Amino acid sequence: MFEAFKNAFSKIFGFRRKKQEYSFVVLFNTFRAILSQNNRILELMADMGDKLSGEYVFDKQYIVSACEEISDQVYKLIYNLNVIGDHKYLELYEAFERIHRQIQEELAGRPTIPESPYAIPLDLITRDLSDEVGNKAANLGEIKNILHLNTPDGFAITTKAFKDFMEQNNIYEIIEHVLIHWDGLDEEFFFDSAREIQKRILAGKFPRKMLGEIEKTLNLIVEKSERERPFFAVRSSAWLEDSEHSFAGLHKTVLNVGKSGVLDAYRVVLASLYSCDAWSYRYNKGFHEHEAVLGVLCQLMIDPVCSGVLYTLHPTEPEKEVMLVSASWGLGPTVVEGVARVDEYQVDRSSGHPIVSMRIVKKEKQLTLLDEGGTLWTSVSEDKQNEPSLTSQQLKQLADTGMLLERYFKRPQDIEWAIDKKGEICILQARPLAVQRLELRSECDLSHLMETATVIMSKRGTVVQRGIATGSVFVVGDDTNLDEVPHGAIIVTRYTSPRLARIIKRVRGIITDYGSPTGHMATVAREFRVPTIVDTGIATQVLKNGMEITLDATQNIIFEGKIKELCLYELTEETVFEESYEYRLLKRILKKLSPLNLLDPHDSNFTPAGCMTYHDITRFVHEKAVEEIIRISESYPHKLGSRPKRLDIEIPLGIMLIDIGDGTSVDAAEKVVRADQITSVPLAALLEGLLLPGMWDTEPVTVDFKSLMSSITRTFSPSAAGPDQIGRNLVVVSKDYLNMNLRLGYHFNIVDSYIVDNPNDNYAYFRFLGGVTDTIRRSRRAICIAEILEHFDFKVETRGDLVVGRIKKLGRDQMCERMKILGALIGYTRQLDTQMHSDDMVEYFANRFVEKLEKKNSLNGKGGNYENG
Amino acid sequence: MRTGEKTTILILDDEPIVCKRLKPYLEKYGYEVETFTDSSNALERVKEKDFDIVITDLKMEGIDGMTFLTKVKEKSPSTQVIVITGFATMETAKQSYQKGVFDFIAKPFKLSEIHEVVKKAEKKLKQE
Repeated sequence: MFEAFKNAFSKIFGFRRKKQEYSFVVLFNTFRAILSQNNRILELMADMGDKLSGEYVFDKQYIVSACEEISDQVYKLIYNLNVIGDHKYLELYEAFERIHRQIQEELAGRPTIPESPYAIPLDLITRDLSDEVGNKAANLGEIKNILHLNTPDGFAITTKAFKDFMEQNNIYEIIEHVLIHWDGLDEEFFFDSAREIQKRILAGKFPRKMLGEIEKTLNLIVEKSERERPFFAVRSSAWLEDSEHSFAGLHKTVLNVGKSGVLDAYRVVLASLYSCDAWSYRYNKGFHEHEAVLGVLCQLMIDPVCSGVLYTLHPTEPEKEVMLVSASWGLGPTVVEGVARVDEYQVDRSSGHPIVSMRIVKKEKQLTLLDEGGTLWTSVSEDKQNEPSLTSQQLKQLADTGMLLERYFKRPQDIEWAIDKKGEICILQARPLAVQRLELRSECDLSHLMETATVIMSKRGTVVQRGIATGSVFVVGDDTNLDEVPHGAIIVTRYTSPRLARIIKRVRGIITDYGSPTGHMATVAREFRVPTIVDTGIATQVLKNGMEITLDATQNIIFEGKIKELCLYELTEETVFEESYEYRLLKRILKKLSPLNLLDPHDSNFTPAGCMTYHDITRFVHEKAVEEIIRISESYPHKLGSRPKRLDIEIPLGIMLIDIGDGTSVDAAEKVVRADQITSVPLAALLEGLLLPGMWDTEPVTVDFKSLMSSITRTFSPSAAGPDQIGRNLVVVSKDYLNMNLRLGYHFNIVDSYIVDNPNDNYAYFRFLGGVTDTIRRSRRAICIAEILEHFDFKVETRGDLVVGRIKKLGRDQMCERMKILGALIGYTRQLDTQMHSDDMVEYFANRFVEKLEKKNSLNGKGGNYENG
Repeated sequence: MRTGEKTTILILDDEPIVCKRLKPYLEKYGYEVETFTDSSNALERVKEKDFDIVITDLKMEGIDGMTFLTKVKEKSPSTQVIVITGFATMETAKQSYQKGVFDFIAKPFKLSEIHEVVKKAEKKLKQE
């Protein structure tokens, strides 16, 4: 088919080429190649993102080959832009090289330490920053900022600071020397080297900029604390620490350090990375030295009444379903370092958390804070020595918090906690707990259990968040007081109401009758990792208050009764997918591919140097490619036999039209063409749809909404993407052909279509790519567009907010109808952005569009039954 | 196939992540699973024991998947072999259908996909 094109082009442009100049045919074909590479890149990125969902098994080879392909496509894209752009964009090769090199480093197992500030306040930290601040600080940031649990305020000194400090003091040199010369046996050599490194670190000098930044952040935290004499706990937060490798106790923690002592404490913590113990642990576990990267966490000290450790599951007897709590008066090291006897409790994991056993010992010593900084062992007063260090109320609260953390991190947790003078529980750190693998006896074999259990529903609805939960059903209606929802319940509700977001933290699972996996509530459920299934249709009919069930949102089955073995099994699995090296690698690589930083072509950073990711390059190339094609057609109208024309229609689209053969009825020299002068079959049909009344309007649509959805009370802003945001757009046409590149605000529409009498040659391709709005609205919009396209028989692929619709081999008239629909859709989607306030809107807007169109055209969607031909 | 006993599966893939993820997943459904990342060790094991199902990668260091599965079939013709292989090598993989391979799955694959294929292989075992 495409050959037919090329021939047509060659016939039309059979002109003589000047030296080294490309003919328009070549240039335009290159432009088309750019469009298809652009697509392929977006698809590849979306595919790679999908692999993180947990449903796929992929290996490193996959990551390597996906990176190869995407790099290859990006390279070709740049090459092609330079072909049509007179080699003006050679700088893009530098951007490509920079990103490509980073990806190669990652693949070679040399993760790059990210550029970041030297210090980051805990308020701004989540797990996304684990490369910047190390795992401990990242986990705590998550606990503070997502789960909003009580944790001491503080800040992290970043891995970037670590790197610069090590470089400034030439410490990498010694490490390098050891790595090259050590035979793996000579202990003395190894220990001497370790001591030398520690000595250098302890005497190390800070880069000036680093000093300034740390001091600034430190002062910020101190000021916020409103404490007169603030003290800090300075802890290690290494890359691999507190993940599946605990490194427990290998790195130093310095407690109760005054403001002026923070930098010294930082050196001490850094030096502990090269203690003989820590270094040999790494060596024996097979870590690479470049993975030994340390962030440092500085937390405001709290003066606890008592502190201790909570394991959310018995590490050697998980089947007992109990939590272990150790507690003692004063500061934590009493418990953590095992230097004195401590109280021990066993608490049931099920809600209510009854105490299973307790062992209260005589506690004679406690570690306390000194006013001038530092700590001191003191005697516990007589009356408190035999007193339990925790009340049953405190134990229950601790257990609730522990379960929340476990549900969230999907792993049994090892939590350091403290209770302050006000009696409030404070989380000092939390990390995965290594638990003995649950041995299943054959008689309670899981598959047997699953076979014999009564299935309430199976494979209904859509899984929003995988995972397994057991618990009692609590049905939430429109007027249910949410405070009545018990902790640890599985809530069942008709709609995915955003109202539920408030209580999502304390429930174990969610099941709904209706709603979409992209709604607000679904987003929150994923954020808190609560197992959730939506759109089951029947949940509220079959699940009643108080029923005990097992929600298996991994297999999408709801069982009667609590199959706790299923829950435990998942909890004690050897590898949690998110902890696997391949997952981390892919995630890190995606950070170099997907984020889009170049949003607005008018921004000063919209340059090759501003491209931080492959997505940026792709975006930049597409924008420039359209510009170049317009420039070429303007500068060399003689090549075309016709000058580019402004398309004059009622709607301000800013379209430049290039006629490459009988696409218009106007004179070649004309600068303007009207809609009625278009003879290009696909464009004429597309314009007809675009100009239908009601498709482009930006009128607020409050009236019929209120009747439809009582839950929505807002009126909608009419300020959709205004005409001022419309860029310069391009249409290339011939009698049978249309290629349209349309940027409306931040959206991109691409249409490519060929329509002749022979149905076998006919096709239409439509691509929509959304721009900056919040992700939820974006995906709603994508789903809405996809539904509309599907209704009209397009084959549709949706990935994030990229929607591609294809249709082919229909007769001429039917193809024209489809072009009309695309035209109408382009106008229509412009409105959608501001109005997609809830999931129900998706359905509503899709229906509204179809109705509008069918009313106007007496068009039938499915089945291709056309009355108007 | 012996009735009343667990279906036994051997998995061979030199990338540990594949074994790590498949083993617990399939065990959950009641299969008895052994995993290997080194083909010569896997071959040793196959000499000792006949497995109902063998899941193997094709491209590996040392003894490659093709040699491995040929030996498996020689020793125990009733064993159902499922090949998991990178997308790029899929075509070459399919040419080896005559070796008696039960089915092919391109990596990356969904967990549910491999479960479906394993169930089908199990059904075939029962029929034979």
